Amino acid sequence: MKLLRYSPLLLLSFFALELALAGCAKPYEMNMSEQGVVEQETGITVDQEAEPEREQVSEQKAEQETKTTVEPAATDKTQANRTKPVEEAAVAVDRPEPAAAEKAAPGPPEITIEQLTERLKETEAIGFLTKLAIRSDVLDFRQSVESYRKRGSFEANAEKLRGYFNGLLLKILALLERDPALSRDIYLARESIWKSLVEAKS
Amino acid sequence: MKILFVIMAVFFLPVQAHAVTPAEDIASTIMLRGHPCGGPAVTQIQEQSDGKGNRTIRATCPNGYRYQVDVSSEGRVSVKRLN
Repeated sequence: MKLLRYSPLLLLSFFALELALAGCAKPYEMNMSEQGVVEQETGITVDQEAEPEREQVSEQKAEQETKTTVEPAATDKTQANRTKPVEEAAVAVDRPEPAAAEKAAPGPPEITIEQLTERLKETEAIGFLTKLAIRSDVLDFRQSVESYRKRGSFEANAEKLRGYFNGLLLKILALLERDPALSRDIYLARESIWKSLVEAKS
Repeated sequence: MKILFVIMAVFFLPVQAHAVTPAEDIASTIMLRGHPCGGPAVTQIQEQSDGKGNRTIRATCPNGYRYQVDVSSEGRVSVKRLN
């Protein structure tokens, strides 16, 4: 009977524990996704295996430097011979291997504007009215681009338009808090979205 | 023992994100248009539509401001403050 009496309390405590666990897991996921975004954007991956090698080489270099200071009688030739391989090794480690970088960073996934539009239409993270409001904003943006083009002042106002576009993009990303995958894909495809919005209609 | 099973079942239930409610949707639309709302959901929603496909929604934000959201038949959305 006692257990029955305290069962709601137990349930509540389990819920609190579950929420706390979810809260702990979120920052880690965010970190991982940020790293992924940086990798995909720059095409550069952080080679974690290279770090210990670099440390090892720097240690070797330090040892070599101490040796050279301890033996001042040694000739210049021998000193050059000693330090040369270490320097070469350090340069080789510092220089990223192009083949490994290409293998590790496969590049951004192929996502078309049509796919993103469909996903934006289907997502449950945004309500119907909000979707209509976003659509209105995008249509207004396209109209202003067209009017600038007709007046021949698009290039002069490109920066202003880009600022408006960035603001609109930020609003959409903020609204997509409950659909992080779509938010990430839109962020990655922002340049192609910008190009498709400002390209001249034939 | 049964209680323990129930507790374990509840513990392992995934926390699901709920879909957006109409009150949240209207509040998001108001805020997207740059108006202050003071909270994620509106109250006192009144909706009416004419025969031409135009919709008018009136709602009150948590900060006390009442807004009118107009949705035209072409899907254009505009927001204006009523008080």
